[in-house]
Amino acid sequence: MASSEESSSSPAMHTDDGRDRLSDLPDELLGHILSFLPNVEAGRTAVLSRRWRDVFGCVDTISLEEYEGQRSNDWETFFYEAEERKSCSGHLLDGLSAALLSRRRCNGRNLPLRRFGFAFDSITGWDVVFVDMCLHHVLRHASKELHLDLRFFICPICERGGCRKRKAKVKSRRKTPEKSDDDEEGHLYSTRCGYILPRKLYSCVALKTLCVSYAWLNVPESINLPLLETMRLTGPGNSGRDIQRLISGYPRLTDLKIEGAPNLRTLCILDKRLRSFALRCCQNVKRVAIDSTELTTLAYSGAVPPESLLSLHGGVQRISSCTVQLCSKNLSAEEIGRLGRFLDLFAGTTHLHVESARMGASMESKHFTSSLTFAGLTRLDLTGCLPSDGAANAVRRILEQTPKLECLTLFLVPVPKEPDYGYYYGLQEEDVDEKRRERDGDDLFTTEDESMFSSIECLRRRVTTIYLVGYNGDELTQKLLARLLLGNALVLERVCVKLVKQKLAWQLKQKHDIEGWSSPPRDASTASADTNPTIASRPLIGSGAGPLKASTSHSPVLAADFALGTAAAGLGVGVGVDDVVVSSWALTTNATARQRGGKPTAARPAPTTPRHGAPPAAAAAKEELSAMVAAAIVANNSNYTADELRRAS
Amino acid sequence: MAAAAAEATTDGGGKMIILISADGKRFEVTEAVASQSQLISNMIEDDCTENGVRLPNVDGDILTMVVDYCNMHAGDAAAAGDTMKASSTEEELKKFDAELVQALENPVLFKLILAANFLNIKSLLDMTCQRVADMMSGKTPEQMRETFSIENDFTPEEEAAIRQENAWAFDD
Repeated sequence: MASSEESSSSPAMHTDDGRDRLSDLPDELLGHILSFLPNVEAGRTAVLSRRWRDVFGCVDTISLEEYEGQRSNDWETFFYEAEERKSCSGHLLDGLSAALLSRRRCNGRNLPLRRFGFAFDSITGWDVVFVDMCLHHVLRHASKELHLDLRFFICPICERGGCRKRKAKVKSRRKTPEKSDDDEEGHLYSTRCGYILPRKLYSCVALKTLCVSYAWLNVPESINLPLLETMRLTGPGNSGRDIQRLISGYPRLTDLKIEGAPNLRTLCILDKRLRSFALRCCQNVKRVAIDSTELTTLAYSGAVPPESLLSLHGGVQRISSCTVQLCSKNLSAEEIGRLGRFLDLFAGTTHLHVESARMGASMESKHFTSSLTFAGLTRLDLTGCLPSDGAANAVRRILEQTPKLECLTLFLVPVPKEPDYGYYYGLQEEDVDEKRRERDGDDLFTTEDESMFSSIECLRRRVTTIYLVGYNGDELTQKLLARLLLGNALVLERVCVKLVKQKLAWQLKQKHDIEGWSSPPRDASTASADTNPTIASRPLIGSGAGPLKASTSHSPVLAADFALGTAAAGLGVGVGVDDVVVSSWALTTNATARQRGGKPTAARPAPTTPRHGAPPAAAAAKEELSAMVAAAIVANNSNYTADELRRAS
Repeated sequence: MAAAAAEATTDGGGKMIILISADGKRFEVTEAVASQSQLISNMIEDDCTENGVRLPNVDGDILTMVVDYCNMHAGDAAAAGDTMKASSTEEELKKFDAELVQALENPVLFKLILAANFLNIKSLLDMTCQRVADMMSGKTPEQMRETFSIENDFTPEEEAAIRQENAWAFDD
């Protein structure tokens, strides 16, 4: 479109003499730059000019993904055109082969491929040959280091907990290997794992990261992966023995994540020192023993674990970040007791995230007997809904145990509506709250409880930052809790609230309410709203701004990640919870915080921030911050299953 | 100014090294600071830094920035063991980094990329390349051409052919 005359004479706003200096950079550097962009965007640069035509071949990252459910309603490709032996995932395959071919065109002038990844919504038998070819090509040309992220099926990991079930409809042409036998759930998974990993994979010495979702691992007798540091296994169909054998084959493994492995019963990793370990939704696991001498990050999700589950050899003193996600809808009295003892393990951590159906995991219950104190905890994240007033007491109970807390984040989930239960879980569950009432008695929230909030040590002296994500003031308990937290936090510097999507008038009312609560620097906060009229109009932008939306849509996972990552840097960025689109503003209640937030620097993604997707978000956040407003990022249908590869970078 | 900053961090750094830019400016830095550059680190190992390190590809003003950057980040490696200290400065470092790349004009940014590549300072290279990628992100090819003054030397037919060839990247 733009003619050459136009572009060459374009204003020298960015370049001093209007000369194209970017194209003067050598191929390898341009390739490095393009590696920070999503493949599709990088691929478009081929039309810029002759100079750029083959530059895409120099990128060191190839990663293309389908989104969850992309193929689920695609009856046409699979059935009507079945005669043609056509893949359902044509677009994905086209992209992958084009990317690999353009590398070949460069003929060795390019950087060695560092990252290769794809995500099929669900692989079909007709894709298998192509994937084989791709993988063999990539493995053969691996030179220095290689990070693989191979996803053959996208679905929620947790089958038992609150996740929506999606039927496995993988129709593999291949016979599942004979190993599927002994384990009861093996069969279910074998239908999912439509791809058998090539054995060649296990002798690719350059392999540093291996992430595999829903594939047969096909573990050979001897594994030669001396450099492998990070592994994520999602939904492996193999037996627990295979998984154990696989892990034993990695001498330098430091980060391990196993999710959705129903066949895993016991796991023992005492011969190496993991730095990060995650165990998610492995329902049948009975015992895990790891050497925790160097362990800094631990994540667990599933049911409340029996005490014998986790044995950490070497102590827990180095664990600084800990995530506990409880899938059970309703905790029994015994489970609540066990939870206390489980959390005792992590008393020394500085960052704790507890996710449960009911916020605070019913810790207000009399059955929660633990008197644990998180003496070093500075950052606490809680996720869950607040179905009744008593849940506010659970939050209070936790806050009383965290004397050093500085940053509190509540990810508020809407209270599920009745009919949803039947829909999600196949059968009508008992009313959760009723069961709880039976256990704990009525949980009326008295003025006495209310006054106890004012004596919470950390609120009085420490907490400087509060984030409320997915706030809906129409839910009375949310409103109550928000009021008590903000009203009693005496040294608060920064409040960031992300509202659920609603009409502007409603949002303004909520904002007004919240401003009224943050007690001490009341004047300052309202003043900031007055002097900056843009704040009032911002909530609108959060939900519909074009560039923002575009920037996050290709990779919602990363957008969410980014938001979490920068939360620590004093930047408020909205996170969409499930389908709820959120919008946000930040109230800055004193000058120092304002200064900090106003610096454009805070918006830069942390060095560990994943490559794809983050840049536009960062740019957007920067803009917003200059107006003293945190950007809202829409992250619909967040898919948290596969962020590891990039995080490993 | 760079030299002053270097002195301040001399405590654990040990020996000083002199870096000489293309236009003859001299920078005195500690070994610890300089060895963030893989190139210089290798030279230190080979013991060939006695008479100063000549960097014929790097201008003085660019080298000033690189030295500033290295001085700021010298604490990184040293404080890695001391987690408390590392976390307190982490935010400042990020701020410093972002301010550094934000403020740059494009030509300077590209020179910095070249210097980081030549000196082999991975973190600086990644940061500057990320900045360029940020500028490209979300733009159509036309907008990219405009941003970077890239001259379109394709005929319309050729351009259409290339689009066709890369159809996977264009149709959403």
